[in-house]
Amino acid sequence: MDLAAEENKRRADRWIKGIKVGEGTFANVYKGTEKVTGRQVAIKKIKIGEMKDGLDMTALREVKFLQELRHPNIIELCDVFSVKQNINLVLEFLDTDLEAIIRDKDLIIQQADVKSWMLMTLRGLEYLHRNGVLHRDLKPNNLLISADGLTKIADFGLAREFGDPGQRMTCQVITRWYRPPELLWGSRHYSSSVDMWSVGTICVELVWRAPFLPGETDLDQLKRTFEMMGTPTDDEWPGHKELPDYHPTAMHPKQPWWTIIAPLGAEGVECVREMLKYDPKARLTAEQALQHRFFSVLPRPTAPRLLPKPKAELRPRALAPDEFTGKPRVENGNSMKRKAESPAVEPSDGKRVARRLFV
Amino acid sequence: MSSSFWSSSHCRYWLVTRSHLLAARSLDSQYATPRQLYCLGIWFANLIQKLGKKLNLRQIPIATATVLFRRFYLKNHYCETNPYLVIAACLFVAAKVEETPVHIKVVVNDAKIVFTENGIRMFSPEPTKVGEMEFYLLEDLDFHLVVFHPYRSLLHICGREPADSGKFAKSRVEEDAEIKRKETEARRKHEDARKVSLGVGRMNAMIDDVSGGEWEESEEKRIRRLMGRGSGEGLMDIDEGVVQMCLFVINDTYRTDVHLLYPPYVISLAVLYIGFCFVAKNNPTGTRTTRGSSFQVTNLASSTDINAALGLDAPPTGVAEFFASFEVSLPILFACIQDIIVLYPIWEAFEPMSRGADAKAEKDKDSFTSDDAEALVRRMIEARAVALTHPDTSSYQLAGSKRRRP
Repeated sequence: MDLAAEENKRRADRWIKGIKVGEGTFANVYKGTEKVTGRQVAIKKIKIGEMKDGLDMTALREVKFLQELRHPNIIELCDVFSVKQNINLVLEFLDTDLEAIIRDKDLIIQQADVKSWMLMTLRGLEYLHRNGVLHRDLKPNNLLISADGLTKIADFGLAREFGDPGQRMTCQVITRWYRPPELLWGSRHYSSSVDMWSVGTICVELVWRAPFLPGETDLDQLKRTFEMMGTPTDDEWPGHKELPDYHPTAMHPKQPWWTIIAPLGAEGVECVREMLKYDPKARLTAEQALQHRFFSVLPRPTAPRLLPKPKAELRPRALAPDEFTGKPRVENGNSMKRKAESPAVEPSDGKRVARRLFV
Repeated sequence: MSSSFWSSSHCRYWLVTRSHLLAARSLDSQYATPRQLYCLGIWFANLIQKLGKKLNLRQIPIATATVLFRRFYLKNHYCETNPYLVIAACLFVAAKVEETPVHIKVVVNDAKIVFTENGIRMFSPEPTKVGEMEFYLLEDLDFHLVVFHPYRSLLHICGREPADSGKFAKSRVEEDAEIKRKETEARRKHEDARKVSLGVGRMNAMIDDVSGGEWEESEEKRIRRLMGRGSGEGLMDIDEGVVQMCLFVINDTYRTDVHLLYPPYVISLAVLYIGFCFVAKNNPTGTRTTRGSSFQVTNLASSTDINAALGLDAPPTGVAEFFASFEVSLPILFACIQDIIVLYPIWEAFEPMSRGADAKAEKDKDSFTSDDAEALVRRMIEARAVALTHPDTSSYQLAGSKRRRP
């Protein structure tokens, strides 16, 4: 056995794979433990063997970014190893997510709790943006919560670097309900402000306990946004009429929609409103948001371990169907596989191309 | 990009020592001379470049592919793999890493075309093979995919690009120039207005007044504005010709091992040094003008002002001071420079630029040119196969053999 294979085997032996806890388009997630320490981990098994067209972009992005990023509020990638034709990502085990908390109507969420979750999310996001990474898929479902209450940003399947001026990026990103209007109008040159809009809508959702702008189609999303927050004017958002997919919409008057987040207090309302500004340039940056008075006035953010948690832990994180969540369609359009296991497609050793010419 | 260089996998795992490099190549060096191996490096880098261009990839994905290729061969050997398959896989992966994905079938088809043009028959155009090689490649790269390139740090050192991941629309030089222009305009308008009201007689005194008094505030603003970008270093304005030359030299460095040995900022400084030397050499006459415009680093006036206003040392005035102002080990910098310039004579012998030169007619017995590369790769693989099936045959015997296959 050569060096690389030995190394890989040593890494694979560090972990024990347990029961399956979730599944998605390109990966199954298993619970696992580290042999030596007994620490719980999640093992994400990427089904590369089934992919005729090579490793999926989303899987590749996830590996690429998580290998480089280390922050208390970003999910930690402990290890990567391969077994046969599968790539296994060993991630820290996080038992619930913000969506489960929002949905669990038995939980009472207070202003200090919202503040705490927002603070942790923004810290993680500020780290991402400082390092030139856009997340492009922030939603409650992707904000995971650890056993000691820390919020961690997960799922980097749509993330990418920004900062190459002039490079066009796709506008088909971010789950629709959390997508800012400039993307709905087809902006190809955007920056970290798209993630800030998502944070703003998540914050409203935490208070309202229901999605803030649950659009059914991309058009409906714009309509709902404007119905709620008024149609943007030239003053408020200069240049929005030049966006590629701009189309005139019905004029909706401004109304004080922020009454629904009044429980956050005056500073909280101001902070969220600045995150949800129509003009991407005027929107608060993650860094500015962290310095906002909302986080320094009383009540103080709840300590992470005291935050409310749903009783039913370990809810399998079933990934919602693509069309429903507004995720861009994967090229080959393979709908997700709902079957339990997929051992069939593992090719027998003889047929494989050898990495080396001589084995 | 994506995370700072210092905490990146590139910095932590993929900068190796020269002895590591030699050890990694010990097996290959049983079947080829060090010079031949070096030339194979050039040959494979050229193929990656050609295939990358064919796939319409930009320079960055091509550069990434080349570095991934070299990283793969830190753990593998030319003589035990199919390097052409690895090339196709590297480009396929690098295109995805740099967010300009190409479909695997396109990679395979274009690879077939490019490789056939170059007389390579070892590549069979099957997407599944490239797909599988992609997996081994990722595995041997330990799934570390982010590669830092010297292009960005070069442009930053030269003040061409803000090193702040695009937070600012303009580079510091551009921004400074624009503000200066606006100020001059404003000042002229102001003067005109004054001229009308006060008459021409007291012009001189008035100009002093204007430049000394009212404009001080905007100068202060500029200091704050430029310093707000978090960089206190002297601002260099380096001649465009030098920068262009440097970008070409960086493209060439991918034919060497420097990307495995040195961090990107050292490479960009080394390249800048080479760029200055080139320009100085090409302009032996008219030293005066050269000194003024390009050879000597010209400071932007504002940079001097800013440093003075803030009580900092004046920015460097010449190339030597400029290089001295970086806290970089000079021996390492010069080793890197040496590693880059050594490429050129070997490359020239391998792929003569001037084909017509009759001097090359009496072909040296030991010479090794691009025409022989493909044959050498095949020979190495065959020799390795023989060595593996007959372990007793000393492989060292084969190393020196000049046996040519028809």
